[in-house]
Amino acid sequence: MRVNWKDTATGGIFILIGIWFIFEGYGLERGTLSRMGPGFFSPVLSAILILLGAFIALRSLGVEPDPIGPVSWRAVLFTCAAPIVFGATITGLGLAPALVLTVFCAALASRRMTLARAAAVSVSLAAFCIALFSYGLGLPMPLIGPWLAG
Amino acid sequence: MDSLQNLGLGFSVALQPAKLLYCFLGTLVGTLIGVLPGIGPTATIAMLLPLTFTLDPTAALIMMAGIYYGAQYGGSTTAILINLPGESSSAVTALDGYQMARQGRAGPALATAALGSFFAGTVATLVVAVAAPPLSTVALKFGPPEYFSLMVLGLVASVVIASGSVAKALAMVVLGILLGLVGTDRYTATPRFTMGFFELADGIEIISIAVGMFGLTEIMRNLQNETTRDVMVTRVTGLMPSRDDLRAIVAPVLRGTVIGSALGILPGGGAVLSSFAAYMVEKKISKTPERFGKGAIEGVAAPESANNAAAQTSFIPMLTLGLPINAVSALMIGAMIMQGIVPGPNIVVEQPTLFWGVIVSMWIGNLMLVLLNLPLVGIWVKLLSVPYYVLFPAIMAFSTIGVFSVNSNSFDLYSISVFGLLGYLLIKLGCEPVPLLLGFVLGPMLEDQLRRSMILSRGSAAIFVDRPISLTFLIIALVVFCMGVIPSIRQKREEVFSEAD
Repeated sequence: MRVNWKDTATGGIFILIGIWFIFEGYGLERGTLSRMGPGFFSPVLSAILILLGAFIALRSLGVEPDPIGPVSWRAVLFTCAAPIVFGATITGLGLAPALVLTVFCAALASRRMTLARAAAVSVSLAAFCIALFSYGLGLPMPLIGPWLAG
Repeated sequence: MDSLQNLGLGFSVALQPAKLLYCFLGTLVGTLIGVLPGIGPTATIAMLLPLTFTLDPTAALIMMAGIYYGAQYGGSTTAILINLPGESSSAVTALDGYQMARQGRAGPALATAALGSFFAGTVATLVVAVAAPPLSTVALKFGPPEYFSLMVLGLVASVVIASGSVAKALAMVVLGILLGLVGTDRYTATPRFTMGFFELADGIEIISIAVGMFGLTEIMRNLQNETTRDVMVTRVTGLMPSRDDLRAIVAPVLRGTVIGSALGILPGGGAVLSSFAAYMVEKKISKTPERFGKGAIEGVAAPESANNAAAQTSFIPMLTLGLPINAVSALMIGAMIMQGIVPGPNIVVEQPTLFWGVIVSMWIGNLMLVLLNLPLVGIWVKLLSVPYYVLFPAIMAFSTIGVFSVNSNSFDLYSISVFGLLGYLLIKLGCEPVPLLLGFVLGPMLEDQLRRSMILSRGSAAIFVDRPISLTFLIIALVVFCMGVIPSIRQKREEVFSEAD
């Protein structure tokens, strides 16, 4: 049978999220219709989400598959890693090294990026951002953090 | 007269040097991203959102609005000169604008777009100034049931206008509302869905969703098929339209302005929809419809006026009702909430300097855009040669610094990555993120109004149909929803969207 697995997956994701919200909100007090508790609205919404997910998934059966188009895994990996790099290093290393690392990581997301180019982009962008945010706008973030200050 | 007095107040705010500066910055950034394909106003405003928290609320809203209508403007420049619409709302402009440029009439085409936009922007600003106060007076009489039904209507409309499957858009709205409920319940102080993270006690930050789902996702989308841009720019000589040109564009500009002002108020992508509608109308009533697509000046004048007017009037529901109708206004509402301003009809009364300052600054911003764009058009086009691989790391750097500066909290940065990943997955599966954002912003208010309504009615849901205004909203919502799922209308809608892409 032909299955548009893209929609099957979409429906499945919505169903799973709906179940998660019901499960997580299980202990919340439901209250009464005239005095709704914190656990009243969310199960209703979760049920609607599950129904919609089921509808989307059922509708995908017997339908031609629909391509999802190109995906650059490299872009996904490095774009999502960049904020994590910044979050993990900003307090320890300080703004300057954290920015260089973050921009370097982000720059690698492009297929047309070489290591030398990424290094150049990250150093110059970090310098620009420090000039703008630390000196220009006076953002209170130490440039060099405790890990490096020794 | 009251509205004159109000506009005077607005001018006194908008002409303050600091406000002029942020208005200029907003229109400048807007023009920039309008010219550059691959970065839209939503992604930009999302990425800059954390930085606006350091500004005072009026300046923040002035700048965000400037980015939005500036982008409509910049988009038309590249549409005309290189047949590459920077924004989807200027896709129609490219049809005739680029043909005019090829015939050596790039100058008049640009001038037509600029003058039409400016005229439309002026009229639409007046429309906002006249329509907003009475609307908010009416809205002040709304009780919880009316608000609940109005929000339902707004969400349903956003579902119907979103591109792609209605079921998916509806699911995205529901998911958005659920995400909006994360955090401490306001009535009982019970933590909900926080998974033990104390950082989630105040709910999910709107910046995490905005930067993740609109910023990171947009970058991943652009990087999935990188292509080299070959920019063949026609030289622009002689900006001024001839007297015949001017005569030809008066009526289309007027019609475009009316269409844009009216459609802009509707939920969903007002600017895109209205530029298409205006183009279709011109083609229908023209005595020489065969000229369209071959460099008809009316085909530039009408849609450009329409999209600018719509960009302006789309702020009416946000300013008067606190109801976001597109991603940009949802982000602006998010900014207001974070600044401690409760969005809704009270803004006109309680924050007159903010309200009128923002409205007048829109007109000033439009004037700046004319001055910024016509003489400097060469510089903007040169910007197209900035490679994307320099551009997107810069955007990432700005937004990570911005996000961290809000709470000095690494958790916010990790949640950006989570939402970026989720957003990209959902987009790949054909689910647009805009309905989710609207649901997220409206979710807590929706629950609040529902609970208050039920307390009022002592537990009877009939209150929503017993009150006439509430019933009217619900009926409109039902009609809009039915229109959205009727096959023939859906087909028409898909055509408009496929042309827009």
